[in-house]
Amino acid sequence: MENFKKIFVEEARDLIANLEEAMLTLENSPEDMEQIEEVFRVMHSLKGSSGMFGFHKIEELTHDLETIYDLIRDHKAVVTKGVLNVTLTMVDHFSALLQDINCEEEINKANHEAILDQIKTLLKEIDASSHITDEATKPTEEKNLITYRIKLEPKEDVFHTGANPMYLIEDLMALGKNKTFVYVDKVPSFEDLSPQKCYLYWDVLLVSEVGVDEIKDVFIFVEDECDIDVQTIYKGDLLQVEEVDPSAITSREELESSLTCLLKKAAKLEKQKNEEINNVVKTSKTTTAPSIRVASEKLNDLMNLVSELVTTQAGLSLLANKSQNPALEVMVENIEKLSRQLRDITFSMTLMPLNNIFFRFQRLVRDLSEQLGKEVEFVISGGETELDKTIIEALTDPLMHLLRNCMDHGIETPAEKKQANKIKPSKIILSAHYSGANVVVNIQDNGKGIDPYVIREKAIEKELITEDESLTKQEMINLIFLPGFSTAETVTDVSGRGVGMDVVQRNIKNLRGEIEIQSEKGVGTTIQIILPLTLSIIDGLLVKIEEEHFVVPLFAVNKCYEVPYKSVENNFNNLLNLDDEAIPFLNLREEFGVSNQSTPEMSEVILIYQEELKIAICVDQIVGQYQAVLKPLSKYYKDQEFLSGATILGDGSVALVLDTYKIIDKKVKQKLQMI
Amino acid sequence: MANTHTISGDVSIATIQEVYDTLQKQVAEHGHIDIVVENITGFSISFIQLLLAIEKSDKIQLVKCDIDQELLQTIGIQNLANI
Repeated sequence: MENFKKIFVEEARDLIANLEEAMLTLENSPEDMEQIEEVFRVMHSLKGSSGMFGFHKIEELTHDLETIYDLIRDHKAVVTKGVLNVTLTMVDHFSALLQDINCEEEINKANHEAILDQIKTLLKEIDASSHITDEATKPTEEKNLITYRIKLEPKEDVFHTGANPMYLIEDLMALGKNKTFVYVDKVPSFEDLSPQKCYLYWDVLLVSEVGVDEIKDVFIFVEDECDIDVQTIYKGDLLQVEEVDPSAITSREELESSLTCLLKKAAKLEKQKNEEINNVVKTSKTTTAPSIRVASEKLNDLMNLVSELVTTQAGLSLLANKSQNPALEVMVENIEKLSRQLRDITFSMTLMPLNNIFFRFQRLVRDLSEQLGKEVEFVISGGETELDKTIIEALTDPLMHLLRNCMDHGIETPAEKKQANKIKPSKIILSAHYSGANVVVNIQDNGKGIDPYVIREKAIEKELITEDESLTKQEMINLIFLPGFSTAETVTDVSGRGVGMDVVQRNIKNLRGEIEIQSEKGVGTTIQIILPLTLSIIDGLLVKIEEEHFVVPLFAVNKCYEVPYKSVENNFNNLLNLDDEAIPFLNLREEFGVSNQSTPEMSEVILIYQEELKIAICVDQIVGQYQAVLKPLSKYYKDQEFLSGATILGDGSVALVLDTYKIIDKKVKQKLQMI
Repeated sequence: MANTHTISGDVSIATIQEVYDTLQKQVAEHGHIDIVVENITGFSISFIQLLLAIEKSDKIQLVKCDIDQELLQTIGIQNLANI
C-alpha cells in the first residue's frame, strides 16, 4: 500500500501542476470551456484517487470545489477572481497535504478551514446569484437526464372535485428543469364565462432524471379529472439546446413545430459533439505514445553508464586501429554506431521542456503582481524548448530571483508609470529558443530600466569600486553582479536582500552558461541567459597542436580549410581570407602558449560560427570526429575563459574542450569594436 | 369617466362565483367599468381565467393588476393585459 501511496503522491503532483497551469490559463480567458473542463477533470481525478489512498482532506476540498466548477460548466456560475484565488490557494494547500495527510500541522489546519470557509462563501454567492436548486448542484456525470413532454388537460369540472391544476404543475416543477406552456384559447368571453369551470390546459417540458412512473405519480389522485399524457421526447436536456420562450407559443401546433426544430438542432449538435470526441480519441491514439514513470536517479545512472561506455568505446577504437585487424575494426565501428544511438536516446530521455518551470513563474508573477499592486502582462514563449533536466532543475532558482527582481525593481507602480507618461501596459516576456547547441533564455521587460550612473554611485558608496575608475555604461550595469550589491532603498521580502545577482551569475556559470544584461533607462531591461543543451556528452572535432589534443564542439563547426602556417604566423591584422571573406582568427598554438619549436608547414583552419558571427581557429592537425564525455575542469583552469571542460580520450589522455561561444563572444566582438 | 371597481381579498375557487356576479352587476349597471386588482388572497386558476375573459371583453378594462408574477409564471402565464 505504501508503494501505491508513493505512486499516488507522484501522480498527484503532476495533477496539481496541471491544475495550476490550467488555472493560470483560465485567468486570462475565464470563458475557455476547454480549460474549465480540464480543471474539472483534474479535480475529479484528484478526488477519486485521494479518497482511495486515504488522503481524505484532499478529497473533501476537491469535492466542494468540484461542485463550483460543475456549476461553471453548466453555465450556472462564472469564473470570478474569487474562484480563481480559492483554487490557487487550494493548489498550494494540496502540496502541503501530500506531506501532511491528516492535516495535523497547525498551519495546514488553519489553511484547510479557511479554504473550506471560502468555498462555502463562494457557493452562497453563486446560489444567491443564480437561485440554483440542489438538483443542479449534483455533478453532471451522476445525471441521466431525459426531456419529457407532459400534456395536462383538466376536465371542465375539475374544480368541483377540489383538485387544483396549479399544484400539479408545482409538483412537476419540483422534479427538474421545466418550461410551462399554457393555452387560453378555450377561455370564453366574460359574458359567457362559467367561473367554476376550468378552461385552461397545459404542456410542460420537463428535464429530469426521474422515470415516467414517477411523473405519473403526480397525477395519481386526479387521473379521472384530467387527460394526462407523458411522452419521452429526448434523451438529454433539450432545454439546453436553445431557449424556448413560452410567451411566443399560443397553441399546441406552435409548440409541436417548435419542438421539431429543437429536436433537429439537438440531433445536429449531438452529431458534432460525437465527431469531436471521435477526433479527440483518434488524435490521442495517433499522437500519444504510451509512457512509463522512471525515477530520475535511474536516468542519472543510465546517463553515467552511457558516458563510461562512450569513453571505453573510444579506447576500444584506438586499440582496433592499432591492431590492424579488419574484422575487429568492423566490429568496433558497429559498436561505435550503437553506442552513439544509445547515447542519443538516453540524452533525449533527460530532456524536459522549459514549460515545466515556466508555468510556475506565471504563478509567481501573478502573486507578486497582486502583492506589489503592479499590473503586468506576463508572456511565455518557446516553453517547448527542451533542456537537460539537470540544467532545468538548477535554473529554477536563478530565474525565480531574476523575475522577482524584475517585478520589484523593473516594473513600475501605476503612479510611477503615470509620472513617466507611460501608457503601454507593463509586460514581462520570458522566452527561450535554440541557438546551435545552446539554449537562450530571455527575460525582457518594458519597465524603468537600469540607470548605469545610479549603479556606479551605489558601487562607490559600497566601496565596490573607487571613484576614479572609468567604466563604460555596460560595465557600470555589470556592477550589479558584484557580491553584496543591492540598490534597493528598503529590503523587501520580494528581493533586495543585498545578495542575489552574484549568486545568480555563479549558478549560471556552474551550468557552463552565460548571463548578460542589456538595459536602457526608461525603456526596459533584457536579461539573456545562454545555456548548453546538455552537461554530459557532445559531438566534437578532435584536433591537435603538437601532442596536445583539443575538442571543438561540432555544432559550431562550419567548414575546414588548410592554409600555409606562415600566413597565420605573420598576420598583422589577425584576419584570414577564406572564400573571399576576411575572417578573424585565433591561433590556438599562441593562445595556449604551445612552443613554436616545430611549427607545421600547413595549418588546419576550422571556421566556427555563432548566429551571424564567425571566427577561424588554427590548429596543427584535425584528427577526426569524437564523442566527448564532458568532465568539469579543476580550479586551476578557472581563469581559462575559452575552455568549457575536458574529456578523456581512448588512450587515457585528456583533451580540453573549447568554449566556442566565449571565443566568438570575446574575439569577434573585440575585433568588431576595433573596426 | 368609467367606474372603477377594485377586486381585493379572497379570489379562491370558493368565492370566484361571487366575484364574477359582482362584476356582471357592475357592468349591467354602468355599461363599462375599469378594474383594479390588488391585495388579493387565495390565488386560483379560476381567477386567472376570469381575468383572461375580462381581457377579451370590451366592456371591462383591467387598469391595474397587482398579482404575484411568480405564481402567474408557474401556470405558464408570462404577462397579463400587458400591465
